Amino acid sequence: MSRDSGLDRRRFMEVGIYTITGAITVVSGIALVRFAIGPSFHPEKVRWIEVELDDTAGRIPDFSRVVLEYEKRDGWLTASARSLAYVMRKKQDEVVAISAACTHLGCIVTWDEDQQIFKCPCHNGRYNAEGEVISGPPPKPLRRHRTKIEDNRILLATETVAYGGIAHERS
Amino acid sequence: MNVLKRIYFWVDERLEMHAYIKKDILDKPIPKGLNLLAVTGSFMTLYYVPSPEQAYDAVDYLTFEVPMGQVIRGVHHWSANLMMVTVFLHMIRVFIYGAYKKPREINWMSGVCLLCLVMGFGFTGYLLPWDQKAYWATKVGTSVMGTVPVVGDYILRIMRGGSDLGALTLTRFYTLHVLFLPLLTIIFLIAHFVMIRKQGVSSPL
Repeated sequence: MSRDSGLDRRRFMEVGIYTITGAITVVSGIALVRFAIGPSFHPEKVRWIEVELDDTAGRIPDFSRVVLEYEKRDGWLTASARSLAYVMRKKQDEVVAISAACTHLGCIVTWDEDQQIFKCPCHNGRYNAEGEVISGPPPKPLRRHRTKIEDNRILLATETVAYGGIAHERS
Repeated sequence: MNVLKRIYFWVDERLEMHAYIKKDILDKPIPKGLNLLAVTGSFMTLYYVPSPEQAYDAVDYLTFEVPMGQVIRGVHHWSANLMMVTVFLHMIRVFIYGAYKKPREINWMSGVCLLCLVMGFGFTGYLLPWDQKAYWATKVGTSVMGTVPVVGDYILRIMRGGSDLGALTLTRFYTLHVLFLPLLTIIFLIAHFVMIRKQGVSSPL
């Protein structure tokens, strides 16, 4: 019977061993890959930080240069993080926070009061007051911090979104 | 003919490994397989830091926060235990069979070296989580070495990297565990296997 089907005992054992070995390899391979990828794709925890507008950026009222300083998890450590935003009040209940990280390579842009533009010192990228690219290498407009106003307190999210995303949240 | 087969034949046409793999590696009575420890260990170095400030937290992180962490570390832990048991069973079997006798004395000696290396792995690996158990086990272990007559204090200081157990001990144990001991083990394993191939297994398996 088994001779007819061409599956003798030796062949049966061979196929069985290869199948079991293969299954073990695949399962442990998946576990190892998951382990190696680890937290690479874990979303970062968003924190809301209260800021004060102090007109430090330019002549426009309520246009401020704000430094966000906060702690974040770095694997098993706690690291301090720092980012810079230009915050301006549009209306009484609307605040816009433009991230100062250039979208080209992440240098910090500065506000040029005379020309009313943001300039990047690294490769001369230029953005208008809304953060839209005027000239230079930046591929995208400046990103924005999400903002919200609660009881007249201005809160900035540590996370930034692409311009055109949610720039403002009503509470 | 599917792609994998074509790639296999393309490689085999140039390297002519097929017959060798089939007959000389897979069809031998003694398989070589202690990859579990090497593989899980290699992957754990992705997260481990041999520093007194960070080792414990890094191990905690890789165990409980990295996906599959408990599995990978668990496999490493239990394989290590199993390794000790297996090595001793192997030694007992060789002893009872009298397989250490002429002409296989050299292979027995290389086996004794491998036994020491495996125990070295166990001793150095035990310290790396840097918890209370690890710290005090190493404290005791190195103190025991310190009681050797005449040279005891030298051994103790060389093991600890000084008179006290600390950062220097942790880094040297780590280096031994992941670099020097594996290299030596590979060398002795190759010798061990080459001799068994040359001389054959002494008795019916």
